[in-house]
Amino acid sequence: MSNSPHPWQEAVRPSPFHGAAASHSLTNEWLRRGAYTVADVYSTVEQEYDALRAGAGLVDHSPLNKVRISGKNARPFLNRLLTGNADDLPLRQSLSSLFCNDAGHVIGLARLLRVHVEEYHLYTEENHTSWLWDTAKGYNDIQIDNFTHDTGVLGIFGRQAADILLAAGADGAEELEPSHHDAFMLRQARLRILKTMLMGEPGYYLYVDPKDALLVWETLMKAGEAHGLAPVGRRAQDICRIEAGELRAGTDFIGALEAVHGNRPRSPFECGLDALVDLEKDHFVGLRALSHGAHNQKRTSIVCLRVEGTEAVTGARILSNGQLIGVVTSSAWSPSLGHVAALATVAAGNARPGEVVQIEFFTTNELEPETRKLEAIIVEK
Amino acid sequence: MAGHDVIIVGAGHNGLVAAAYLARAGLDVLVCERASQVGGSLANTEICPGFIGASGAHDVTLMAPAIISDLNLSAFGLNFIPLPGRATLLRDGGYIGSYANTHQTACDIERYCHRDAERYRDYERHMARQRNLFKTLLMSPFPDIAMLGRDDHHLPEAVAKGLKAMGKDTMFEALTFWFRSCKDHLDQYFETDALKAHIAGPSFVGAPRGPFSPGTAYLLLHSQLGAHMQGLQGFVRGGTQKLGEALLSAVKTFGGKVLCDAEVSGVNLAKGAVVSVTLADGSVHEAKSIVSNLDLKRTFLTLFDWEALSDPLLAQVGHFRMQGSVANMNIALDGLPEFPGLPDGCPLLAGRLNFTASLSDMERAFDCWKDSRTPDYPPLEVTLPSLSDPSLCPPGKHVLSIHIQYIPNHLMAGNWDDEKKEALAVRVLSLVAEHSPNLKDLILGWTLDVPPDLEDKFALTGGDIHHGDMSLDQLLFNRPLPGYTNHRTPFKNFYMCGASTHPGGGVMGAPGALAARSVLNDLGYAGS
Ligand SMILES: Cc1cc2nc3c(=O)[nH]c(=O)nc-3n(C[C@H](O)[C@H](O)[C@H](O)COP(=O)(O)OP(=O)(O)OC[C@H]3O[C@@H](n4cnc5c(N)ncnc54)[C@H](O)[C@@H]3O)c2cc1C
Repeated sequence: MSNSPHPWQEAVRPSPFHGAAASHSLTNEWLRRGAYTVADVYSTVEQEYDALRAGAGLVDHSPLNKVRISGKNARPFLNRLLTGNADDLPLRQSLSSLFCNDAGHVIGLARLLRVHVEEYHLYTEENHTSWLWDTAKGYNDIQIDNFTHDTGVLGIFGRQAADILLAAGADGAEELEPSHHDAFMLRQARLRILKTMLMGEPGYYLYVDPKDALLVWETLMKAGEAHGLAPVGRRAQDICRIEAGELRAGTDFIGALEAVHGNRPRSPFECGLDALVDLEKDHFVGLRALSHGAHNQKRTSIVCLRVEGTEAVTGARILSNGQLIGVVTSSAWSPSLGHVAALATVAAGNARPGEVVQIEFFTTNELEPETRKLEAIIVEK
Repeated sequence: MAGHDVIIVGAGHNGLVAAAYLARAGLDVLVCERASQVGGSLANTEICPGFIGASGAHDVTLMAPAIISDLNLSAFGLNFIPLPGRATLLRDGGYIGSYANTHQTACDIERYCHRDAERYRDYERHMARQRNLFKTLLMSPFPDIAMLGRDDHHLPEAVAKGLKAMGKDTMFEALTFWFRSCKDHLDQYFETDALKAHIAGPSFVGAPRGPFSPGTAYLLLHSQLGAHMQGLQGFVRGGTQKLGEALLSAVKTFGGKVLCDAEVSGVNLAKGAVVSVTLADGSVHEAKSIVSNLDLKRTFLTLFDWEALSDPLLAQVGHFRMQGSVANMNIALDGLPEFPGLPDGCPLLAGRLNFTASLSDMERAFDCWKDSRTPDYPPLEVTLPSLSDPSLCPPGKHVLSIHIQYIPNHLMAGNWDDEKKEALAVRVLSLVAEHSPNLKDLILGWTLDVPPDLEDKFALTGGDIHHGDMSLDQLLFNRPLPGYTNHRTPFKNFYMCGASTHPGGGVMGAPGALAARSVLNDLGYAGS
């Protein structure tokens, strides 16, 4: 403790992979995510995008919030917390899910890993630890600890990801089924590997002890040399995420606990995450609110847009017949789709694919103010 | 002699804010101030030659940014210095710090208790929701609750919108929050005693109540209202008096007139309406509207003939609680006092320092106040303004200011005198010296004002720096009295604009701005 930096110096810290990431960074462009800085761009957005789509990309997801939930009651607790069925999640498998408050508003999206019979890891974009504590009140024999700073998270995604992992020497990892995970050795490093999809690409998450972070990074980079592996920063990841229609908490919707204004939180249905909600379950937090017709009471919908032009339009207003109906929350030029792809929140009833809407925003062109008006079309997610 | 449009009685910052808005709208405004300088409780004092201390407010973190920009105060020489945060120094040598950034504060708390660090994010989110609601209330006149729902009485649109956007859960949170004690509220979130005291500390300066008293949770919010609205204003360069001087320049530039050494001895009525004021020199000045910057008791009990006050009004004003609870100390120092509890380079030294380790310690000090005794361990709030504003003293020297809490106006052991003040000063210096070993060797001089001194200096009834206890029965729709919201009074053409009115005490400016709005409305300037 005495050697560690003072609190006013360590509020934002480098990720465990920083040393390696910095040596690959040609741009020195960093971005704050949660309690960490991660690379925004390593080389060029285009090169990184291309690596991810054509070969494989190495992504540093260490800022993810990580919570260990263990004890006899971990299972019933998690089943009560998550909208999906966590009750018969087998050992070494994982579940993508979300959790709500009593009002049926989404608090966050989560990935749950069962690592031992009575131990689970929960990964979320934002920190909800004290909500978990509150929800666990009344359960005995349950421990909930945030271990965000004790684990680095490295993702390797893209069609070459499996070959690279094999070449790196993570023996057996190539046999993992989707959403399965297990403990492996990569050289001297013990780590857990999960097979999953992200940004529309198959790949793996590696959960790494920070002391092994640089070793794991370099081992993968070396093994990936012949497979087109490149580290991919947040900007290129964002393009792929938007193309795949993946929402990010705090960006595409406001979590119910974070919202300052009471009318900002959204139901899973309003987020288009119906598939993650199991209304047949006996119980989960928010079930009552959600099973009472929340389907029909959607105030807003999250939609994908195909926008005219080439520039990002995040924050732009969306109009239909001159009426303001929503806002663009994420957007980027998509090299593979050949148009600007966007995620947007629009008033319910305006979400039909094929519908044409107007996009409007203010910008400057070499300091000349301009009002930009573009057309966009709502597309199937 | 032709009358003025508006006369303002008192040139405290609220009186000046009101005057500036009214003059800017084109009205003929006259401000009459009893003292020889403006600013009221914003005043500098010379501790010893060359050392400027604060005889009133130390910082202006509550000052509403909207007023600063509306009145263009920077153009009148106003210059703010941001505060980096606060620290509570603990007896075991450690410290708890908070910073403008929630995340940074949580990292600090993490050193003591992981659970509390997580809870702190919750706590701040709750406060953000309350602040958001309050922000609308703060800058709009509070509705008369008895009239709500009657035909043409609606919540002001901004308030109605604020309540609606707040949502049911936040509304429920708000309803319990306003009634709860500070202790109960903080107990919901935190385990660490020192952290609770750290969070509560600054909120209780000037509150004649302890953290166990019901309704004190609200004080946590009040003390945050300004800083989080957007501005980072902390100290005023050159001392808080400079804020009064900037307001004075604004008033004059907008065409208002300000008379100092012009105590108002009474207001004169004709047919239930106020028509003029009489100054101590006997001169009478007429105006269409008269606005009092004095506290509620002084406004009605010293400016009016008591016969003119209807029965419940006289009693209500009499029962309004105004009690002093703060003493103010300034110390001139020959060099920088060391606080070894803070690591080298810690930015918080330039912020506010507290030393109280638990809410129970605060409550025990408050118990002494109730018994009319000075506490052995009064909570202290120390600032070293010269660290960020070298203009306050000669190079290499420093000025230290201390708010001493729970100091009663009347003592069981007889009236305050020099001997009792000396004993208090010695005690306070030794409490600070526990955390600053070289302090005593550096002292060049000091001043100490106890509540009766503050009453004399600033015309504050009972020495109450907030013009009245800020508890729920004297806040919001109850401030200053139920039924007299909107800064109007039972007397036609007569308004109040001081800290006794909504939204209350501290250097905020909001009471003055809201009062000006009501006057303008009534004079038919609704559009301005
Ligand atoms: C020692 C001390 C420390 C403080 N510390 C802080 C702090 O750190 N932060 C903070 O936000 N707040 C602080 N405050 C509180 C804050 O200063 C006051 O709440 C605020 O300044 C009140 O402003 P006001 O304009 O409403 O009234 P006042 O400043 O009280 O002004 C009233 C004016 O009316 C004048 N007056 C009175 N009677 C007459 C009369 N008959 N005729 C003409 N004029 C008259 C007075 O002289 C005075 O100028 C402190 C106050 C004191 C005294």
